[in-house]
Amino acid sequence: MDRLRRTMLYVPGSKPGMIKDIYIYQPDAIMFDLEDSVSITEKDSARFLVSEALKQVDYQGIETVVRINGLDTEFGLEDLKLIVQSKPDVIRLPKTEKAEDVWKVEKIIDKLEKEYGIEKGSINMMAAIESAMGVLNAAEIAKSSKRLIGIALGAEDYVTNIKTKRSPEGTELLFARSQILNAARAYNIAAIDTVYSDVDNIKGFRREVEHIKQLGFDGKSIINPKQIEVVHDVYNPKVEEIEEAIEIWDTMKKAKEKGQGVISLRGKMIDKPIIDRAKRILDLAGVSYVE
Amino acid sequence: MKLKKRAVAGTMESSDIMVEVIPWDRGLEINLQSDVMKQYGKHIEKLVSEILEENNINNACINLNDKGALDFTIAARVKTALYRAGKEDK
Amino acid sequence: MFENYTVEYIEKDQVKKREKAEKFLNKLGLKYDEGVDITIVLKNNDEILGTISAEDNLIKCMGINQNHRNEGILNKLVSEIIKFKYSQNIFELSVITGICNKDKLKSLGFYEIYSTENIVLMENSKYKFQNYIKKIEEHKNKNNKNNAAVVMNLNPITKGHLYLIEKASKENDFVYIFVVSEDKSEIPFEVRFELAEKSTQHLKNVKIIEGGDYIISSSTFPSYFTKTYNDWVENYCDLDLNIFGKYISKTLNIKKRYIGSEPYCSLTSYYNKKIHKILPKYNVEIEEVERLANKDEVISASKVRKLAKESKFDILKELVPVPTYRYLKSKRRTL
Repeated sequence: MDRLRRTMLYVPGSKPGMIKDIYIYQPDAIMFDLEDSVSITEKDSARFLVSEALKQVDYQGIETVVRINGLDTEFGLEDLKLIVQSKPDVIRLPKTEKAEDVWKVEKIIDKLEKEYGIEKGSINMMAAIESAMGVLNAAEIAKSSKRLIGIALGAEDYVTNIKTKRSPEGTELLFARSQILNAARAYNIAAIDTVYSDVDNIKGFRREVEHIKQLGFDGKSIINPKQIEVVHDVYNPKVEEIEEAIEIWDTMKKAKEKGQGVISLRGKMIDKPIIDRAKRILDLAGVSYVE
Repeated sequence: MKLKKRAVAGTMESSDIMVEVIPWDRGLEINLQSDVMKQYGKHIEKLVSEILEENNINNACINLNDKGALDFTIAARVKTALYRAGKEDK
Repeated sequence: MFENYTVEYIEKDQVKKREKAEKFLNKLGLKYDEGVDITIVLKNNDEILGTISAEDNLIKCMGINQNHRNEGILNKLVSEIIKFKYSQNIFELSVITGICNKDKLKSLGFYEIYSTENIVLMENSKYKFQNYIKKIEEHKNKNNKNNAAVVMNLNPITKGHLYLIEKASKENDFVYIFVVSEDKSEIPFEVRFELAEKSTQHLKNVKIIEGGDYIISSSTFPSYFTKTYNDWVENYCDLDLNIFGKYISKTLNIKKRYIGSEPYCSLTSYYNKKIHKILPKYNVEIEEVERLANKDEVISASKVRKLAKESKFDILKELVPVPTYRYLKSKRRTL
């Protein structure tokens, strides 16, 4: 089963009260931020807090992601040194513009894994695309590394970069979203959409989630727990969809056992895309199945 | 680790702990103030002592004001204060 | 947890930014102190949740939004100001506040130094006051029974000051001259101290010592330097004089305190009245000495500084001892 990444909940790495409790909201992933939400004077303390939390707190299977500062800052390298040691699931790079940005970080992670006796490749990476150049290079970024499990859109910086503002309809993000999504799918990695800052506007948030789900995104960046249930609800398949998916899957399994080459259900041919879609629905619904 | 100057880390907000490291020449002194002194005082002092020992600190006054911090927070704040105390002034 | 708190740091010159904080404090019945060098404001969107300020190492102007009590706002503000002051290499903070805040501040790491009926002096250093008393102790003169003390700003030392010091020197075994440390005077502390030592060299039983943070300084007497009379003056006098009586006079075995009569400054004359009331409790006698006059005019340090500014050195020569005269002459145009 592919890991679900419907919701990635942001937590400022400088707040111990938030870090300790965050798993109770049960997002699919938690992103501990050392970058934009942490003030310059607290970069070091946030680094230690996140590092110790990863070592000592049980996040109950939720994917742990750490957004480090860029290597072009005085904090990035120190972040990597301490965070790799603490073994998060994913290290997220800010402001990625080209494949080289990924390679630079990967090289350091390689070295640190070796130094700390950590199994090579056990720490994954994620890249945030936040500029016009990054969007153009989405494809090369998506294929740049075996460790890279996903790319995300960072809309705030992106819209500034392309000289416009965010709108409820999101027209200004259409190209970026499409590029990122397409690149992610071409190279079989996850695509995560950007944050929605108006926390109190649940209606507007839901519309945006429905929009990006239709575009094909795996999930959304979350800045407040009340956004989580909206996303999970939108991504939750309908009962009929689930029942159908179970049926398709069972039919496929039976046909395979019998050694049948062509699989059909109620007169319709069941080919790979249909099986993949069924699998996706089962994943989203949290229904277990045998591969 | 060599301590070069005084440093402070953390806050006195709920779930946090404020840690002050003062290098001096009177051995090691740990002053802990905590809301849960009776239940966890010894545990916190032990945790702090271990970190100090790992870092070879034996000449400092460590002041801590705990507001219900979990172990990971205590460890992080102590390590941050030591890190800051060991840095050269720019 | 996920609220939109912002912390604003307002430095001394950002007067406009401070206006909102000032209004907030006024609504709580508190006054804003012009001398502060930093004001920290905690906001939730546009609503002020609380504010705290400081002048050097003295915390001032704490105010919490009464609709948000018990939300840990003071915890956050005190943490922020400790951190801020650390970045300025100020590590030990004091606060003078109403007795009602004592317990809360204790929980935030402050130790009680002294309480009067209404106010309390607290510091977040375990050893600062102890170390101060130890330093005072080093000036102890074991053989002397009749020790006297004078507390003076000496801004600069004049013949008027010398007159009082010489009188004390004659009437006692030993005299301690506490020079007020705070650098709010026009002449810097080091200079005032040095001029005092030089001008009293001929008196073998007189020692000039640094007053420190607990003798008429912002720490124990915040309004002294602004010389404006306000409701807190009585509280501050109590604090200052009780600390002197309980700790300082006891450590140095001081039996008499000399003060100059104060015809000009109402604050000082009020302070002098209080001395008569408080110090006898600690077995310290008060000796009030009429100020030395030159041609019907009392010699005052402020008059001396004025004459120096006006370069009237002939008149000045008669009012100050030689070391002071030399200093003022060399400093002309810069005073």
